[in-house]
Amino acid sequence: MAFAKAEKTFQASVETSKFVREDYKYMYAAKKEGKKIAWMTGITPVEMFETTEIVSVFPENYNAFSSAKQMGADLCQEAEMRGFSQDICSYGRLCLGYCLSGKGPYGSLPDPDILICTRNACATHVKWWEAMSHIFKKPLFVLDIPEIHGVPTKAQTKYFMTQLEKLKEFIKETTGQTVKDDRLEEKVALSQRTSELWSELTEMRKKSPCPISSTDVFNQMFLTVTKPATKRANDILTQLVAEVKAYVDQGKGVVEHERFRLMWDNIAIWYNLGLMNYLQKAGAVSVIETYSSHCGWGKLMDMSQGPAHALASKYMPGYLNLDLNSKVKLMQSLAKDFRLDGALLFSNRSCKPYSVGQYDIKIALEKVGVKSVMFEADMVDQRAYAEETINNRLEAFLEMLENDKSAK
Amino acid sequence: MNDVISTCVAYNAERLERLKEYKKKNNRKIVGFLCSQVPEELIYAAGMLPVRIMGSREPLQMADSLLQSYVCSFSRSCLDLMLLGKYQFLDGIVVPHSCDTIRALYGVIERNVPLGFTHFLKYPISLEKPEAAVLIIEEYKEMKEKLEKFTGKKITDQDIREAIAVYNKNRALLQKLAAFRLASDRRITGEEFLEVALAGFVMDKKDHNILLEKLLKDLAAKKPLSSKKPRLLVAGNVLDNSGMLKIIEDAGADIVWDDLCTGTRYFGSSVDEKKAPLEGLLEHYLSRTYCPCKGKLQRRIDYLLDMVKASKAQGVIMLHQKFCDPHLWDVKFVREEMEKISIPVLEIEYEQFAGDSGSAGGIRTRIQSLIEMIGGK
Amino acid sequence: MKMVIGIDSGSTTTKVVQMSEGKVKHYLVLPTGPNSERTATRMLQTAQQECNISADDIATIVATGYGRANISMANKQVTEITCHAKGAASIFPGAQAIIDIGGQDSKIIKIDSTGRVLDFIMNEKCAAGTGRFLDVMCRVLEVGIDDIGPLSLSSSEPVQISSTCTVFAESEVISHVARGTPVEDIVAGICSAISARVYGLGRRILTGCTKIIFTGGVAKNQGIVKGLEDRLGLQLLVPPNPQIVGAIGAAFIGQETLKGEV
Repeated sequence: MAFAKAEKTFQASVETSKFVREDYKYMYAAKKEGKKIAWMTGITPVEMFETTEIVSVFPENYNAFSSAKQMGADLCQEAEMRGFSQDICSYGRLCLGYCLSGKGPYGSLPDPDILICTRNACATHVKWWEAMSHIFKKPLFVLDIPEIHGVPTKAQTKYFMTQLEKLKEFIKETTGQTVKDDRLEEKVALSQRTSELWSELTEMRKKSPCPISSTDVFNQMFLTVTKPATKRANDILTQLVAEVKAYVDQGKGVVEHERFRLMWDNIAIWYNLGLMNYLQKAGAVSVIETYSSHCGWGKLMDMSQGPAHALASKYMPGYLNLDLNSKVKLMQSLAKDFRLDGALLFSNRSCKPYSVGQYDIKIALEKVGVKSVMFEADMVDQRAYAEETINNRLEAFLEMLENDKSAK
Repeated sequence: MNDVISTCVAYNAERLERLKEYKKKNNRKIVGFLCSQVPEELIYAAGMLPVRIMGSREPLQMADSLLQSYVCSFSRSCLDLMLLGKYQFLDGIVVPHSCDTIRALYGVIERNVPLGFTHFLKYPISLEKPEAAVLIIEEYKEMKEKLEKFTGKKITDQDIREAIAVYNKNRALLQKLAAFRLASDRRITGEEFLEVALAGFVMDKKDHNILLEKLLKDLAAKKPLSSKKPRLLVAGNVLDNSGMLKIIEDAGADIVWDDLCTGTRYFGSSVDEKKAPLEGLLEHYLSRTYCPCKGKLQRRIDYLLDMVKASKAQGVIMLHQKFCDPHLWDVKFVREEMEKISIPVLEIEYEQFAGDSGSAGGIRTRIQSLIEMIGGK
Repeated sequence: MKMVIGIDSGSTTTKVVQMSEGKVKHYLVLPTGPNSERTATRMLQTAQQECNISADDIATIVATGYGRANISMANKQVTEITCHAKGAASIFPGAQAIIDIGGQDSKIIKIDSTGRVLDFIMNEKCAAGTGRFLDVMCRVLEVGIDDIGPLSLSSSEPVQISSTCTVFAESEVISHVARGTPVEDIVAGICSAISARVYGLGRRILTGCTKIIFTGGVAKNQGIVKGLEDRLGLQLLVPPNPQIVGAIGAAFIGQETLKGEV
């Protein structure tokens, strides 16, 4: 199956691609030099690690990268051949695939010295990181964040803060590195700047026509996920915001005639970001994604009580860590704020926290007048993507929206 | 068949109808729970009957419109029964954050099934951390307050102690009963044991204790007949009916021990009655939770190895629902460790409403192969 | 007299409908075979011959179904969802929903009074709940597809087929045959299984609908009609030719396009 390649629109995107390539080159070189390597799950307080000489590696980023290169199915199979079930999360399978076979785009990632796992997305992360700790025989730290019902309770915040202190001790014990509070303040400030720029970007997507597509936004997530506390990310985002603002000033959008404003729910389909081109031909634009804007990355922090508390405000209450009622409320408010015509509910076999409850979200969106289409696939394993089936469904959905518009 | 066991089998076959009758007769509120991690004693101390929510073997009628097909059949079955009104007698539910699916299921139930009282325990996953214990106690306190608000009655420490005493007696009796399987002397099979254990989830523990005491007396008096059948340990998740165990034992093996949510993982240890009630409940929960949904891979592997040695099992069957992430992640590693001590492992994935004839044929063949590997006939 | 043509190029059968002034003048249903374009072209030629019309008499052609992208002679391609909605509403004005069970998929569509799609749900990744399920079972039981309906209705004790997978369900059926279960009871169980699957899929959309249309080749099966009616608690509206509803809808859309309504 050959998927259409996604198109990049902004000059800043080119800068991001450069940053990605250089970062990967750096991490392998750093390993050779003897620098300590930390593998961390997606929504981890990387700000802390930026204050040290430890190199932060995000296997999930490499997963997305591998999948975009159409290597997802093969790498998942490498894990399956070695005894892992086809039904476990494909992010886990793909990662284990390159770890155990060395057949990723650049081979495997540089071997970890320590493993850092957060539990603010799913419990599968813990199983996956424990598996890797078992395989690599390296120490693991789990930053455990329980489910947040709307807002974190005092007890939950205390739990987080206590563990943050223990994480500092763990880092010291395992790598000899110290997390210094003044450096942390500095990094958190840079991260906040990234969040400010990201929020500005998101705000501009409320305009009609939407000036930046989900494809471009998904591709920029490298900055908010892995590099929020860097000046380089700040600079690139500043540039991107300026470019997008220029579009807004010119009334320029992703498509010339914006017919339908849509939301994308769930993780991106990394091997087929070109799906967006298909929709855009019909004048349909994804103007907001829960994944890029509400999982914690790029979130504005509460800076009023010091850097640790700021990190708590960012890393505790992301979309994936909320109860269903809170998720529904958020979806309904996004529908209103972004003046949506419809929603694309990607039912992702690999992500229970994201996908289970989507029928309730469909019903809730219907209540605020937003129709949605649900289609099943996987985020990195293209064997679970039935192109004709999904295209047919999307086409029928667009026809439905089109007829709705004619009727009005 | 022993009359206690047949009583339990009959009761389980109509458990939801029996609970409906019970409620009418006793005018006592019933609160359902999922998983083995809910402090039932608090519900009991509040004067209500805690009842484990379980599924059935019936094909789904309604759940497919709210849960995708890649969600485990246990969750879908439970939701289906609730949507069909089969659990209408429930006054409320308490659900813990065990696995991600159960966590999401709570949200779907809350939004789609009319219930007077719903509560979610926002459990941490890192049970070894002292700070996690602090958080769990907070969750217990919150649950207790919510229960008090619902019933309009305070729950005293004495109430909880009395509940703990009843539950401890139940655990002790179940431990005694479970041990009978070890002798592998035809006094109680793995299938029968599960039926007896399942009955306890849907009745007052006081009544279950009476049944258990009688059964233990009967079994002590029963003549042992040594069995040369291969000894198996069944490790898995929530088994809410004994069908699978029957298939395994009919194929020619003895299930001498289990590591199931509805088996030893439920009654594996007792609450220390000398401790303050909530502390005692906490310690009990932390000490016996080897559920894969809480991670701790090495701890579980060590536990299974110990159990295999203690029960002199010759093979392990990993029996779990299709799509059960926590269990699926462990399979490869458990297998590797068991191989090191020459214990063959068979993995069986199932959907609980699948027909008897179809997949069961394939399952029987695989069990037979395992038995042949062990050297039985 | 200008004709409007609707072509429904399905995975199993191709349907060609000729319509003039809102009335179906002629239709053909034939197996699609491996070449959907060639089959559609041939069928159109046959239709023209049988109606004594030439290509000039054709005002427009609208294609739907999985093979619609291959029908090069079509002026427009529309999904079968939109076409079924349009077709069903034209046959039964006031219909609120459509259940369509085809050869390889099943779908439930909610519509408004003009035949506009309000919501839809499809199952096309699994044979259970589709015509394919019936085909497999017919082969096992050595029963003709047209006999399934009457046989099913004559059963007083349908068996329970619990497997959700067609392959495993087939094994269950074979076991029943071996046990000597009366064939009508097995057939009734099969019909019940399909109805249950489709009902489960569409329950949410169908809640509150009182006027529901049943289309697709499987709608000719009385056993499944009954299975669905029992679960829905109402009588279904089945068109005289349930297989051509999609093609009718396509033709209607063609008509609307000509009139500038779309």
